[in-house]
Amino acid sequence: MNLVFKALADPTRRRVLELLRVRPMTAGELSDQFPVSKPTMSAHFAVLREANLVDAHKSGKTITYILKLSVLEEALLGFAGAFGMFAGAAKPDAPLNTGTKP
Amino acid sequence: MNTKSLMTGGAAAALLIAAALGLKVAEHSQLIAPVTGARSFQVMIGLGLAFYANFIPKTLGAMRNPASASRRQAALRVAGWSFTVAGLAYAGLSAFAPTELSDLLSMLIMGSAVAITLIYAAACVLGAAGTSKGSAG
Repeated sequence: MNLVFKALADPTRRRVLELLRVRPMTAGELSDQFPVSKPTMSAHFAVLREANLVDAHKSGKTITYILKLSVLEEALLGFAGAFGMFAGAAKPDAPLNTGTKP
Repeated sequence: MNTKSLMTGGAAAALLIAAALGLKVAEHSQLIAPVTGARSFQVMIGLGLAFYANFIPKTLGAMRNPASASRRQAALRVAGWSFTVAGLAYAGLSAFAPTELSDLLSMLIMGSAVAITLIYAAACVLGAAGTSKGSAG
């Protein structure tokens, strides 16, 4: 459960999960939504995979991510988004301080 | 189905049987009223259902293509949410509502969860059929 809280504590990762609620997306499609570098996004994806919140499917050079949230995890995501549950969390679409694109 | 999930299911079943036996013994020993035993067991069933239903969206399996995975994911999410809410409502009603009312409402709630799941799954299947016809035509 610690891994889940760690994953949900970051606004970028929460935004990724919200995007994946709509449909499965490739790593490139997801990265394009954020003003951060691809290695930073890869690190975010790794945290989400480690927490078992997303599933990755590799086809050639494309990695497609799909949501894999339990009901409780989805409820936690909703709470975190709605109430800014985690102290110091920036808004989901706010630019991050680290790893900005050159 | 893997060995771990079989083991977990077996352990859950054993726990329910043990709890039922324990409640029966408590009833016979007049430690609890018969109605309390029945209610306690129904609460356990409701919470067990909610616990299992919580993990339904996680059972997505391997993704063959993103479109079908998306529909499957949506159907599993609806199933997970409806059975989790139904399980919690079943447990709540069994614990607090008058017996006649809780029996009727529990049946209605469980029936609704099944209906919602089946209707949404059918809609996903029909949507998939419509999309494949559209793309073929």
